[in-house]
Amino acid sequence: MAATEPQIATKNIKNVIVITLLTPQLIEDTEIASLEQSLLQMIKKANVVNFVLNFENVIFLSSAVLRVLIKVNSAINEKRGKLRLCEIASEILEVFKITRLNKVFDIRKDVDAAVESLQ
Amino acid sequence: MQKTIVIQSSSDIARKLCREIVGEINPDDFTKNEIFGIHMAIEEAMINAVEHGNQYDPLKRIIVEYLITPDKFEISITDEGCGFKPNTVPDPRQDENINSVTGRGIVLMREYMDSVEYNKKGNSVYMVKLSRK
Repeated sequence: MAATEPQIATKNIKNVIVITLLTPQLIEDTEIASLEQSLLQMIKKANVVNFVLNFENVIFLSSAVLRVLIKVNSAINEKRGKLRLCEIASEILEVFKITRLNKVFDIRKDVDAAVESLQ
Repeated sequence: MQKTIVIQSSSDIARKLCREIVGEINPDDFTKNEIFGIHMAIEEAMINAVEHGNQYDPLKRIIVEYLITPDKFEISITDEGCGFKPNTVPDPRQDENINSVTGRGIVLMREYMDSVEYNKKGNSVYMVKLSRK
């Protein structure tokens, strides 16, 4: 079976790579695995060290995505960079609070605030 | 009426069933947050059954029994694995485990549902969510 291409869009704003997740429901194994691979490769190859993950389109995710975020955060920390999450729907923000991952990740309101915090 | 569905050990089939079950919940009976929580809990339980219980063995099945009423959602998910002891899974919310990549599914199930009980063997979970709408 062919791997599912991750639905992401990226752009560089003020030397920060902003990655927008385009898939509303991040639950399929193949898609999550593909997303992990894409993000880790992007972090490894990028000339910049700071990243923003924009969740504005995401309405549901499984705990497998939380695992990916932890790995992504570690990869960015290894580059001595920083990660910000933003535009997280209230229901999903609750998932971060329940698992206490809101203490691990720096979560900002929107892309502008996230990018600004990395300047 | 209680329904019983038997599926193969496949993540895709399990997730499709989760969406179908959640689609049967009447939004007039449960709040949006309650439905989100039920979806999260049954998705995690179902994937645990496929991954950790049956270990993707296509010859093993998962039995899903559920009942949805205006007041209550209840479901049991049983795999054919060896079972596990849920109390031995490290709590990923503890500082020493906060970067652990496992254990969050069980935390989410317990948080979102009113009751989460495992059988003695640990291969079957029964969960209840009461409507507060």
